[in-house]
Amino acid sequence: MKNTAIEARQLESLTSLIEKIPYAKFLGIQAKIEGGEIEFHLPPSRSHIGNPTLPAMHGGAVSGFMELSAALHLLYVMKTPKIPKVVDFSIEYVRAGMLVDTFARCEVVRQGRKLALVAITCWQADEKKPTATARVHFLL
Amino acid sequence: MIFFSQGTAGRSFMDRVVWMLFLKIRVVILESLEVTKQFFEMLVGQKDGHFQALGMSVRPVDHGKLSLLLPYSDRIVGNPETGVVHGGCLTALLDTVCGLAAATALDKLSLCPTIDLRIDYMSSARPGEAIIGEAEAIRITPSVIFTQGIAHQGDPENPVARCSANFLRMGSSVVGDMQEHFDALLQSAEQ
Repeated sequence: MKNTAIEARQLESLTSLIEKIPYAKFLGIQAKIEGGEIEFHLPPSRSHIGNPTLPAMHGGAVSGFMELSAALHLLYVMKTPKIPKVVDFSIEYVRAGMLVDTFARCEVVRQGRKLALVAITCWQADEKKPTATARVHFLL
Repeated sequence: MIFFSQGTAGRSFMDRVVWMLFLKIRVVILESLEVTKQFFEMLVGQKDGHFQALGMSVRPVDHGKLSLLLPYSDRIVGNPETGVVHGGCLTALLDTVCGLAAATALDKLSLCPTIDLRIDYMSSARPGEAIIGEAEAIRITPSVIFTQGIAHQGDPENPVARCSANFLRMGSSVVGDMQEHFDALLQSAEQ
C-alpha cells in the first residue's frame, strides 16, 4: 500500500491505489489530479440509493465516499506515506444528495506527528453549493 | 453502555427519572416496531439500493432496541493488508440504524434526513465477522430527533464504534407524497 502510494504520486494518478482497496471499487470512486489538485468523483449508481422514493443517495454512501476521499488525499500528499487510521469522523448534510454525479475536495487542515485533520467538501451540480461538509481525524 | 443495557435501573432518583425517560421512548419504539419492519422490508424489498449492496438485514428486536446486521464481505474491505472493513460502511450502518430509530420513534412515518453525524472508531473491526449496529432515539423534540448508536461484534461493552446522529423532522407537506407511496407499497405487499 505504501509503495502504491509513492507510485501514485510519481504517476500523478490514484487509479492503482483505488484498485487495491476493495471498498473503493465497491463504491466506484474516481480521482482526477490537475496541477496537484485532487478532485474526487463518485458517478451515480443504483447501489448508492438510500431513499428509493426520491431517489436520494444513502447518507452512508456519501459519508463513505468523503471518508475514503480524505484517506486517499492524505496518502497522496504525505511525504512519507503511512496507512492512516480513522479516529473520528463527523459529517453535516447541508443539502439533499440526489442520485447524480457527486464530487469532493479535501484539505489537510493540520498534519502533526501523530494526528492529521482533513476537511472535506462534497458537492453535486455547483461547487459553491455543497451537499455535505465533513472532517476526519486520522492517526498516523 | 447504559443506553443499551437492560435491568440496570438507576439507584438514585435522578437515575430513575432518566431511566423512565428511556423506557418511555422504548415503548414508543416498540409500538411502532411493526411499522419499522415493514418500512425496512420496503427498503430492502427494492431491487437495488445501498442496503442491498451492503447486504444489511434486520436482527430480531426486543425491548425497543433497534438492531441491524452488516455481514462481512470482501467487497467492503478498506485495508487489503489486514482485511479490516472500511470505516465508511460502518458509517452507513450507523446512519441507517440511527435513522430507523429516529423514524420509528414517531407515530407516523416521517421523512427524517440526517442533520449531522459523528462517529468515533474505538477499535478495529475483526475481519471475517459480522458487525451489529444498535441505536436508540434518546430525545424527541418538535423539530429534531437525537439518536445514539453503537457498532459491535457480539459484545456491546466493547464497541467497534459509537455514534451520535441528529435528524430533522420534516413538515407533513414534505412527507405527504411519501406516506401515500409507502401506504401503496404496503398494500401491494400485503396482497
